[in-house]
Amino acid sequence: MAVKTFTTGEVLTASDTNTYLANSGSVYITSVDLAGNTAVNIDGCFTSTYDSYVVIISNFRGASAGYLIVQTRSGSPATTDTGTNYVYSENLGGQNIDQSSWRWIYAYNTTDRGNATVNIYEPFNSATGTAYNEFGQARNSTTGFLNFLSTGQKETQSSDTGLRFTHSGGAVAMNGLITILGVRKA
Amino acid sequence: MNHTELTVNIETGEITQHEMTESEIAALPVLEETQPE
Repeated sequence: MAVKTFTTGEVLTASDTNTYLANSGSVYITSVDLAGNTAVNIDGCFTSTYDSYVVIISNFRGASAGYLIVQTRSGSPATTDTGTNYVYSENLGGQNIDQSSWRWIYAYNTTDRGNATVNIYEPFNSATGTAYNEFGQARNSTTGFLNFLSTGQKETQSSDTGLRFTHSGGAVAMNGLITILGVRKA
Repeated sequence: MNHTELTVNIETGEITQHEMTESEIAALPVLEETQPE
């Protein structure tokens, strides 16, 4: 889509709005604060409106060190896919197959936080397995820094409508902000 | 310590939070705390 440069005094028409604003870029869907919860479900964030999504995780940290654990959800009312249907690789390492979840960004403690941006591909499409790639980093004030890449997918093809976030330590309170954007289709 | 589960439904706008039961806590996926390299 072309980009239009407006000049001083030019009228912004309905047509321009529909063409250059409504059809541009990424669209905000939601932000959810983990807010000390042990489990957080975001349902209905994946629909037929978009094919691809961006999930931004900022200031993730847990009450203890560990990873952000992610599972998909679907159905109405939504339930979590707890089967061994997940596969992922980290930092160009080997594949971890038949997992019961994905493993996203790590945080070392309550103050050294992890951040990540995750591209998610066709979660709502029942003919594909939901897939992602993740770019993240975390700091450790005593031992250094973590630069984190991961990629993964569902081994099964299904229409997923939401995500569940927990901590790799199990019953561990989490904090941080999850923001989800939809990538506008032409 | 109490553990809570938050569910946000984007389509309905419904937000619910409840205290997790012992069985829900026991069902949480737990992975080895291997620190990433």
